[in-house]
Amino acid sequence: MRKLIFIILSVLMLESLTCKRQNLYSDIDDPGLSRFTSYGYNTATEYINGSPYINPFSVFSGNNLASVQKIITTTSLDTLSISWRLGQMIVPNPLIRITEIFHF
Amino acid sequence: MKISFLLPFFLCTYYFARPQSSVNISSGISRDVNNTSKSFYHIPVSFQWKPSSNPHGIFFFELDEDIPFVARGAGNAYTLNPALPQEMILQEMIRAYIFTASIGFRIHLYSDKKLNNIYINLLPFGISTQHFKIEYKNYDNKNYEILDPDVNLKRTSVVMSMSAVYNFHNHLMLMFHVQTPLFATTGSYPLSYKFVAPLQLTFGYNFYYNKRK
Repeated sequence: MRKLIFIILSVLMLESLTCKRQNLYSDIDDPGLSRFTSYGYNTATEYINGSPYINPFSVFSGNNLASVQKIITTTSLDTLSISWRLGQMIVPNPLIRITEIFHF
Repeated sequence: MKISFLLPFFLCTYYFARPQSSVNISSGISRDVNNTSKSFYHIPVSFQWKPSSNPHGIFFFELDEDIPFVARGAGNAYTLNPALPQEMILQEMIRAYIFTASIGFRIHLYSDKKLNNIYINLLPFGISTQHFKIEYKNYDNKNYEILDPDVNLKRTSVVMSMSAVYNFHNHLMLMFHVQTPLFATTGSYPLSYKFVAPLQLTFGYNFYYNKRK
């Protein structure tokens, strides 16, 4: 009985270590991209050269959270720069960064 | 899909069939009692068949189709295109189509000298399909993105229901019917609506055939 409990617990622990939950809900208007939400899923998706890229942020998988920076300009609009590093699983060179500039 | 899960019903009705019965058809208005932020209204069409020839026979079958009115909500859409307004508030329209097939039994409560009577119908087992269709009015999906969009949903699951029925003037009936929401989940993505629990008030007509003498 103890052996059985040990095996079940071991399997559950392994499962929790190996499985990475991805909250990716596809957008029917933009195939391959996630819906635009404020639910804190920590997932960025974007078309790069016409192909959809999915970048989940996680402290366990090594992808840092996106950095957000306000850029001071001479215009009346606020400019926000959001950048993140592409995941190792997506591209061979993880140093490639994606930067999006938003004007508000 | 509907036909496949109705097949057991038809087989059961064949088994229970006796040389008589009553059929009634009713319609009226239905209001959802499960959603708090928005409420779904329907026109229900209810069909009941009591196959037993015994006046005290208690089993019956019921089919309900709920034709939806549009429930309205709102959605915020945003764009990065500086030539367009940054934010738009879109009108959201939700249609909830419901179809239910149930089996139940009736409990007689009261009869008067004119044979008007009151029954309680209990339907402990039903299969229901709820199909939510979402539409955003005037949505420019090329330039705008809706924040936290609702999406279509279709689920089939088990429900329970009960109703109070007043039969009067031999053939007429008035029914007050309430049904649970689906015993299912909407999934892990948050939606602004929940499954519908229809509360129906219907008026109908009983057809008797092969009456006992």
